[in-house]
Amino acid sequence: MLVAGLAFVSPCFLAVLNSVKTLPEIIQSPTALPERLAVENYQYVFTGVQLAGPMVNSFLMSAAVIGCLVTIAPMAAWSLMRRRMAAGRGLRLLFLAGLTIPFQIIMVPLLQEFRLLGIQFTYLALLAHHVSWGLPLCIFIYSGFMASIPKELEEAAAIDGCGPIAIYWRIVFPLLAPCTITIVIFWGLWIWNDFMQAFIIMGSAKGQLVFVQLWRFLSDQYVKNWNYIFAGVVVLSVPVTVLYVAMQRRFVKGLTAGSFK
Amino acid sequence: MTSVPEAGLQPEHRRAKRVAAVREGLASLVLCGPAVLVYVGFIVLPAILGFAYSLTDWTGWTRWPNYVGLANFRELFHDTRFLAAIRFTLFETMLLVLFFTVGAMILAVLLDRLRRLKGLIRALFFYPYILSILVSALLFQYLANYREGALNTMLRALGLGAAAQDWMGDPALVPYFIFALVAWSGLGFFSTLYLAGLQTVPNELYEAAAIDGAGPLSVFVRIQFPMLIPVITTASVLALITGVNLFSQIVVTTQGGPGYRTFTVGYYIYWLGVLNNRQGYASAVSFVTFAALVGVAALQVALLRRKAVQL
Amino acid sequence: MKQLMRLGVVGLTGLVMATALAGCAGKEDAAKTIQVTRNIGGREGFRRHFEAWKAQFEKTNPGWKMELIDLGNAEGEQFYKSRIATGDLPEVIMAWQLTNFLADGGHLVPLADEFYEKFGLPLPPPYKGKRYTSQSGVQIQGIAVNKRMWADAGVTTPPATWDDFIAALHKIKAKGHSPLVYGGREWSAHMPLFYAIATTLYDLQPDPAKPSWTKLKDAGKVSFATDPTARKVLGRMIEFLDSFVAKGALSDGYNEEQRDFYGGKGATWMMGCWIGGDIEPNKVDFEIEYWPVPSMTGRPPKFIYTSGFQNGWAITTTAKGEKLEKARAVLEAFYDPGVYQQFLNGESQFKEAQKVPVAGPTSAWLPAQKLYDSMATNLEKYGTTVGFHIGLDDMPPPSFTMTMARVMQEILSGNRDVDRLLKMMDDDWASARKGM
Repeated sequence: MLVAGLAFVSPCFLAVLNSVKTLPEIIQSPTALPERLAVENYQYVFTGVQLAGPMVNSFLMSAAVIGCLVTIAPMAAWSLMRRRMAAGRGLRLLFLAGLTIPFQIIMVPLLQEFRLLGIQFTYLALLAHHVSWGLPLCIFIYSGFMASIPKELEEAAAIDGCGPIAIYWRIVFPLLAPCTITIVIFWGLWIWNDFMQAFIIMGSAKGQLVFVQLWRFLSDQYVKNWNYIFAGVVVLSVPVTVLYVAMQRRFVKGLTAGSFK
Repeated sequence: MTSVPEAGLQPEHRRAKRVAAVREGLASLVLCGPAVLVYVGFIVLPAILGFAYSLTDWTGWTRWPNYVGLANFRELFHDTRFLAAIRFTLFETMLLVLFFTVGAMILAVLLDRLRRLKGLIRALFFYPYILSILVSALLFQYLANYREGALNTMLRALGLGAAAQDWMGDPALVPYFIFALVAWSGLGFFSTLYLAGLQTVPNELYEAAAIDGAGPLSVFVRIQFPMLIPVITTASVLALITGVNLFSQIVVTTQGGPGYRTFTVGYYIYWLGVLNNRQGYASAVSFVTFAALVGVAALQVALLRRKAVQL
Repeated sequence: MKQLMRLGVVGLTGLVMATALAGCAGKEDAAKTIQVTRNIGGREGFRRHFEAWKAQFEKTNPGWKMELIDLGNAEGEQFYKSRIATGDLPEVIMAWQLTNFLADGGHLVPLADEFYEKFGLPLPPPYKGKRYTSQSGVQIQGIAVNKRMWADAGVTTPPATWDDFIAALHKIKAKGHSPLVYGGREWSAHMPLFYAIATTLYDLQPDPAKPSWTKLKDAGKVSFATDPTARKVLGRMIEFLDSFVAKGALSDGYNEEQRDFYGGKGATWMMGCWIGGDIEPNKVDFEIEYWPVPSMTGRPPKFIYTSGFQNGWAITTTAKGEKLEKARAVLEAFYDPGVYQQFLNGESQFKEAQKVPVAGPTSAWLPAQKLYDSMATNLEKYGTTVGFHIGLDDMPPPSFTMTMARVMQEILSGNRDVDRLLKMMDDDWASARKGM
C-alpha cells in the first residue's frame, strides 16, 4: 500500500525534483537527479514570476473570507435549525438550492452588479463573491454539526433569561469550535487555491492573487520554463501542505461533519 | 407563533408575549440577516438575472437585450455542438461517478485495514486534493507532453518509445487524460468520506465476523457495504455535480480542444457567452443544464434512498 | 477560548476593512496614469519598444505616467470584454479586429483625419464613417524559410505554386530535415489554412464594384460547404498536415514553434513578419528568408497584407478631460522617430507613416538585418494581397481565427470528413455573427 501511495503522489515528487534542476536537465531526463541544486529557480519565483506580493494578498483574502464566513454562517445555520422562524423552511431550501447553481449563469450578471456598486475588479468584489458562494455549503456543514449540541444547554440559558442572540454567542458558537476550525481549514485551502474565480472577477492583468499571477507567467512566456514553473508550484503548495500536515485529523473530521445528511 | 389562546391571558402576559415575539423577530433578523443579504445579493439576484437573460438575445457586452421568448430554447434543441458537449460531459461524469463511488470505496476499505503507517499512507492519497487545479493541471501537462513530457521520456528511456503517445492531444486519449486529472485530484476527498463512514461500523460486528471466521471479502459485503450506503449516495451526487461542472479543468488544459472534442457543457456555456458573445443563448443552455442536474440529482437520491431502505 | 474567537473575528473584520481601504488608496495614483495595452508575451523586441515609447511620453508629458497592461501571448478580446463589463477599459488599447465591436459599443474615441495626415499615414477605410486607430506599420504574413535547409533540397527561390511548395517540402523531408515547424495546440494552428483561404477565396485586391466573399457569405450566397474552392483548400490542408506534421503536434503551441524554428530544427515556418523581432534576442545565427504565399489556384505568389484596415491603438472613452489629451499625446509619442524605429524593429514591419524619418526595420544583428532585407526585397518583387482583411465591416468574425485553428486540430485528430469540417466553419461563422 505504501508503494501505491507513493506512486500516487509521484507527480508531486517530480515537481519538487525538477524544481531544482535547470531546464536542459529537465528536458533530458525528468527522473534523473540534478547535478547541483539549482536554487536560483526559487529566487526567480520571487524576482521573475513575482509571487511574493500575490502570496500576501492571497493570504489576506483567505483570512478575510474566513472571517466573514465564520461570523455570519453559523448564526444563520443555528437560527435555521434550532429556532422556529416563519421563513425557516423557505430559507433552508433557498440555501440548499445554492449548492447546485452553476457559476456560468451568475458570472456576467455578477460582474455587472459589481460595476453598478462601483467595486468592480476590487478585492471587495472577490470577497463578496467568495463569501456568498461559500454560504450554502458552510451553512450546510454547520447545520449538520448542529445536532451534536445538546438542546438542554440552550433551554437552560433561555430559562435564565438569555435572549436568542446571547444564547448563540455565549453557548452555541463556542461549542461549534471544532466545526469552525474545519471551516477555517477548508476555506483557507480553497481560497488560496482558487484560480478561476479570481481570474474572472479580478481579471488577469495585474495578477494580484497567486494562481492568477502564475497563470500570467505561464501564458506570458514564450518557452515553457518548466524549472521556474515547478519552483513556483512548489512554493505555492508549501502553505497548504504545511496546513494539511498540521491539521490532518481535522480534515477528516471536517469532511464527515454533516456530510451524511 | 404561539398555541396558547390569548383570550385567557392577563393583559401583561399578552404584552410580554408580544415583546417576546418582537425580540424573537429581531434576533432572527440579526442572526440570519447578514447571510441572507449577502447570499441573495450576490448569488440569487445574479442567478435570476442570468436566467432572465436566457429569454433574450443579449450579447453580454453591448446592446441592450431584446426579448426573444423561447427562441434560444428552440435553437438549443437542434444544437449539435451542445449535444456533443452533453455526450462528452456524460461520458466523463459516468467515469467519475464510477471511480469516485466504487474506486474510492475500495481504496477506503483497503486503507482502513492498514495497521502500520496508516496515517502516512492516507495522507499520501489525500495530498493531491489540496493542490490547486492549476497546479494539478500543470503537473499532468508536464507528464503528458509528447516531446518533453515525463511519461514519454521515461518510456523512451526504457526503450518503449513506440508506446509514447500524445496523451493530451490525441483525441482518443484526451477524455482519459481529463478523467485522470480530475480523478487524481479528487480521490483523496472521496476516499476520506468513505473512511469516515467506516468509522461508524461498530466493533462488535467485526468481532462477531472474526469469530465466525469470515474472510475480508465477506466482511466487506455483509458488514461494511451496507453501512456505507448513505456515503455512496452522497459521493455519487457529489461526483455527479463535479462531472457536470467540469469547466475550470478544461480551461487550464485543453481549452475544449483538439477541435471541439473536449467541450463540456460548462465550457460550452463559457465559449458561447464569453468567447462568442452570445450571453443570452448561453444563459438558456445554463438554465437547461441546471434544471437537468437538479432533476438527476434528485432522482439519484430518491433511488438510493429507496435501496437503503430495502437493505 | 471564546474571547480568542471573538478577538479573532474582530481582527479579521479589521483586516477586511483595511484591505478594502488599501484598494481605494491605490486609486489616487491612477489619476495621472494612462494605461496602454500591448501583447508583449515575452517578446524582447516588443518590450524594448514599449519602454522607449513610455520614456518618450513621460519625457514630453512631465508628471504623467504610462502604464503597461501586458496581454501576454494572446489577443486582448477576453480582457477587453471583462473590462467593458466592469466599465473601465484602459485609456489606450490595441484594437485588432475588435475595432468594430468596440466602436459599436461606443467605447472608442474617433481620430480626426489631421492625425493621419500629420504623420503621413494613409487613411484607413473608415468604419461607419469614422476612423479610430493609429496605424502602426505595414504588416505582412508569409513563409519563413531556413535558407540552408531549402538550398540543401535545391530550392533557392520562392515556389511559384502550391504544388511546387509541396514538392519542395517533400524534397527537404527526403534530405532528412524536418520540413515544417507546426504546433496544433493554440491559435497558430490556423496559419496554413488562413494563408490558403486568403489567397484563394478572395480577390487579390478587392474590387469596389463587387461584394467580397465575406459579404456574399453573410448574404447567404456562398458558404464553405458549397464553395468548391473551399472544399479543395481543405483537401489540400489534409494532405499538407498528413505529409509534413509529425505525431504529437497537438501538444505544441506557438512557443514550441518558436523554439523549433529559432533552434534550427525545422525548415519552414508559416508565420507573420513579427518574427523578425525575435531573431536578435534569441541569437539566431542562421540565414532566414521570407517568402510569399504560393497560390493553390494559379495566381502569382503574394504576401498577405494584414494591417491595411483600422487596427492599431485606439483611445477609449475612459479617457476623459485631461486624460483624453494625454491619450492623444501617447499616440503621437508613438511616431517619434526613435520610438517608431523600435516598433518597426520589434514587429519587423515596414513604415506606414511616410513623414516619419526612419528607414525600415534595422538590426545590428546580422541575421536579423538579412531577414529584413529579404522581406524588403521580396515585398518589392512579389507584392501583397489583402486577403480577407479588407475593412472593419468587411471581414470574417473575430473568432474566425480560432475556428480555423480548431478545424486544423480536427484534421490532426484524424477527422477526414470534409463535409463536416466545412459545416463546422459555416456553423461557427453563423454563431459568431449572431453575437455581433
